Amino acid sequence: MGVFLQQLANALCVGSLYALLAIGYTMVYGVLRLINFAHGEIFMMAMYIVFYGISLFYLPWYAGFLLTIIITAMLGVLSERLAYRPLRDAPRISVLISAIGVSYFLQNLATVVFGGRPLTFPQVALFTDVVDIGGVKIQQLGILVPLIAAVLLVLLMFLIKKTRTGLAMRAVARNYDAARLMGIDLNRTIAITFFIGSAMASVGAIMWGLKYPQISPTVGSMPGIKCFIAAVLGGIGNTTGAVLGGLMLGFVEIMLVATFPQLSGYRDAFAFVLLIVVLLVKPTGLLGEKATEKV
Amino acid sequence: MKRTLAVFLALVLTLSLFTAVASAEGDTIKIGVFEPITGSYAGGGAMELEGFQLANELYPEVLGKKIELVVSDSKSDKVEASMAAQSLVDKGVVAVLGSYSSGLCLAGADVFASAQIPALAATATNPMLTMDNDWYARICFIDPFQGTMLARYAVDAGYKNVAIIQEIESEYAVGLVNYFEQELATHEGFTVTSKGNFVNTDQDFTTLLTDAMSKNPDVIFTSVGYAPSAALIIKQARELGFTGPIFGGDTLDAPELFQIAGDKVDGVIFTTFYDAAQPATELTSQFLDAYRAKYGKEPSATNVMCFDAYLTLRAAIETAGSTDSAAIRDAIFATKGFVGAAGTITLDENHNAVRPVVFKKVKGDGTSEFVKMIEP
Amino acid sequence: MKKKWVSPVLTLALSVVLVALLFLLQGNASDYILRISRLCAINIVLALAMNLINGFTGIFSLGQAGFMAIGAYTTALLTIPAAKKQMMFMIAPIVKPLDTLTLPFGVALVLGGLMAMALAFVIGLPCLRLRGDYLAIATLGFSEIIRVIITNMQNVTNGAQGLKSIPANATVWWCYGVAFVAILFMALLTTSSYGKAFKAIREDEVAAESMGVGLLYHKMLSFMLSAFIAGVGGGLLAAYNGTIGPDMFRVTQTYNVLMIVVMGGMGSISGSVAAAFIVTIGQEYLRVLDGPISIGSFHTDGVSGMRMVVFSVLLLVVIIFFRNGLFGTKEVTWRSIGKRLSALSGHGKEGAKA
Repeated sequence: MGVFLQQLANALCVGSLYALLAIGYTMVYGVLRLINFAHGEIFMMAMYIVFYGISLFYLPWYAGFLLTIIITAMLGVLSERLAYRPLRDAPRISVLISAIGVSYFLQNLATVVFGGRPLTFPQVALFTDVVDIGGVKIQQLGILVPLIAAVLLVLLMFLIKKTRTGLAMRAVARNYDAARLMGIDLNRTIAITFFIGSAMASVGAIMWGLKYPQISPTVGSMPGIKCFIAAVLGGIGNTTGAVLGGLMLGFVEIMLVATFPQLSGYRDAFAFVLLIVVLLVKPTGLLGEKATEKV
Repeated sequence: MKRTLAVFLALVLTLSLFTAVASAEGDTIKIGVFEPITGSYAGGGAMELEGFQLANELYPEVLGKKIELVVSDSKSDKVEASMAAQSLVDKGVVAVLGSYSSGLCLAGADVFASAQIPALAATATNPMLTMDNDWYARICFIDPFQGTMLARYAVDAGYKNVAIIQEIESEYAVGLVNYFEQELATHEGFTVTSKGNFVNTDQDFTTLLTDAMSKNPDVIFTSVGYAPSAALIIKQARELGFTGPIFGGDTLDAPELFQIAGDKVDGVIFTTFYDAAQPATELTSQFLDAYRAKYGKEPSATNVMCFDAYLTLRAAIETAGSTDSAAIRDAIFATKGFVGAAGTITLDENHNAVRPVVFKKVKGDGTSEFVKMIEP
Repeated sequence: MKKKWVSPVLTLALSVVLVALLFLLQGNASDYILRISRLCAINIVLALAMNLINGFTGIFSLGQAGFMAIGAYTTALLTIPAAKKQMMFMIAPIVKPLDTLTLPFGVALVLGGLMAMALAFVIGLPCLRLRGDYLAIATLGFSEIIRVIITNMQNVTNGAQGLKSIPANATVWWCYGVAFVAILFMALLTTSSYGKAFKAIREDEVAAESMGVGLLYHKMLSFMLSAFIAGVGGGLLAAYNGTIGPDMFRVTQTYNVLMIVVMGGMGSISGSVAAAFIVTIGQEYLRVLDGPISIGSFHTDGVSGMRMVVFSVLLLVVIIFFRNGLFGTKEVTWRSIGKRLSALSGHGKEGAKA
């Protein structure tokens, strides 16, 4: 039983991390219908920014984290402005390729600027100390991360449901052209979407770095893909769905490996199998709505 | 718009023409450095390059000419590696040093063999490299030896139940485990209680570890392709409350182990090629002083092995007395009792080095101490 | 009015010239140049495979790497001499018929393509029903699943150890020969009624369907043919490189080919051919950026990895500013060359194309 609880605790923590990243994907997709392949690289850059902020500028951790969130969010907005906005009227495939290009570029840039050798994410005692709860050993962040994810989700829901900006985002997601015609400032709305999505990603990156302290230029690619899968699982375009999807993915991954340890080498493949099954059975995901295409 | 771009490209291309002939000084002996400078093995490649460059600084000449290191980046990719190997051959190198990662060595091996250029690896331990290739040699031991010794160590220490965690995508890691298990199986009463697989993008080992620990192993054997993975395994194992010993192979001998796992590395044991204290040859202290002065940190085993590889090659060129590739190759293969900074190098009939494996234990502050040495 | 025999005669003449060029290359060029040219040809094959499904049919598939892997492993396993195979599989002995089976290179290549095609059938059935972006991720997923399976099937593929000693059958003749056949095949296919159906699907699926174009049938056809060509390309790559391993077939491999296709123009065969040459040679040329550079008296030590940064910037520039790539959807035909020539020689009203 103790083992099971331990695995459960792992799953909750990993799931929350996935959830934080998935939110960013789903928001961007909802508004732009774009799979932001570069999201994983934004995540990676956030980790490096924290590292340099703390080790080079000796910022205290809370300042470093806050600054990183802001810088990363701006980086996201910048990437949208440079690589996606010029392609607003282009066929979807072009934007997708541009996203791949941004992802590739950021990875290679990081390799050149930060070097290929892995660096260690700074450790903050508040998060990394281990507590023992009834025989289950869990890092304090194992409790803090789900909490933070939950709080952020509530804040986000408030933003989307109760504010004008949120209304604008929903309108653009529902019908791009109509929103434009109704006078909604597309550029601003999209920029805000990217800002929030990248900010979420950076929070996720900070939590991730605290739990798994190894930073390298390719650290973002697998989490990036997995979190996209999580977003699809929950219903892409739906923020609550993204969180649910993230949790679900975390649970399935951990529990599967825990029950069949000999299959642990296939772990990444599981995420894809899960994705394909969901896409075939319920393509709109858990909470997604069916979108009818008018001819 | 298109015009300006075209002009810009033309300018770039023309400028790069000027660069092409930069190193056309006729009176140097060119030695190729075949390493992954970018990509997932960039860290390893950087360590190797450091070793070569340091040796080149201290011993820059042979046969009265300057030795020039020509670096070609294999980008940690097999296809790029064969191209990088070819580009070295094309640049007229007389011999090649490298690579980190046996897989990349293999990618270049056929190119070097058909160009008839000798190649010398410093840390690549996969036996396949020299099995069928008359031009590649190495100054380190091979995995069958290392894996067997690790098993013997476990047996001698009385660890009856071994949990294994291996990196399934690393040919090195899987090979090492294979030889370990083969040897362990020949000893009564010793079993492998669990075998967990991971890939190098994995950072979460808690599931694997929880499962491994549930079977009550005496020791955990981590076979990884790259130190950071081992560091994470060690860190998470300790956080989960595993108090038993943990050991691994030579990839654990890297600064990242302590950097990432912090004081949790206390007590971890690994095999490696040398220990700074024993045996101390005169070259060892020369190397240590030079390395510390130049880089301001402690060297890893990879650094010193590469230092030795350069010196071995240089000595072979001297023995051959010319830059004839076949002569250099023969001289390399005939290396016996060459004293390097990491110990004495003697190559056997398969052009692998016959040398002892050193066991070291890491302490909580990141330094490591010698445990024992097993001769072949 | 051009006479009907002009075009084929010109093509024949061009072919003869190209064959002569290849002879010249083979005899005189250094091994390094030969290597690059063989890789160019292989990239042509790979780019064409990707262009068929992505460019001509408009289906965003990211599964190329998986099909290449199948082709590569099949060809490798069937051409490596039996003795070496058995020696290589040190961890788990190779599975039964494969340990002694060897086949001639051409047969192995075709078999590789067929295996990839068979898998494409299995993968295509569920995936091709999905919409654009989902299809991309699903195919990417399958590509990764294939790679993971290859890594774990120790007794068939040698797992992470990979295969080595693959006989160097991918000579200049084989590479360019296959590339030539691929170009011919693509040209014939895209101008046939099948090709028209593919393009119709690309332009507007719903309209195509209402005009009677069988959607699933044609999508599957395109997907499977693309997989076949990719498999053959993978086989050539294996023979070219001498060693293969599962790490060679990650998603980045697909991205590399995608870059070539995008640069050449999605939907243009000539574009893919031209871009394959430009990108392959360019990547090697840019190796200069990784090493020390001196311009006159200005000297810098190379910045490792700069090459890839420049490359990714180029990809972004191309996709943002030159969305249609080099050739868009246009092809280089004798007629178009003729038009250009007469415009240049100033036949006034033919059009002032600058």
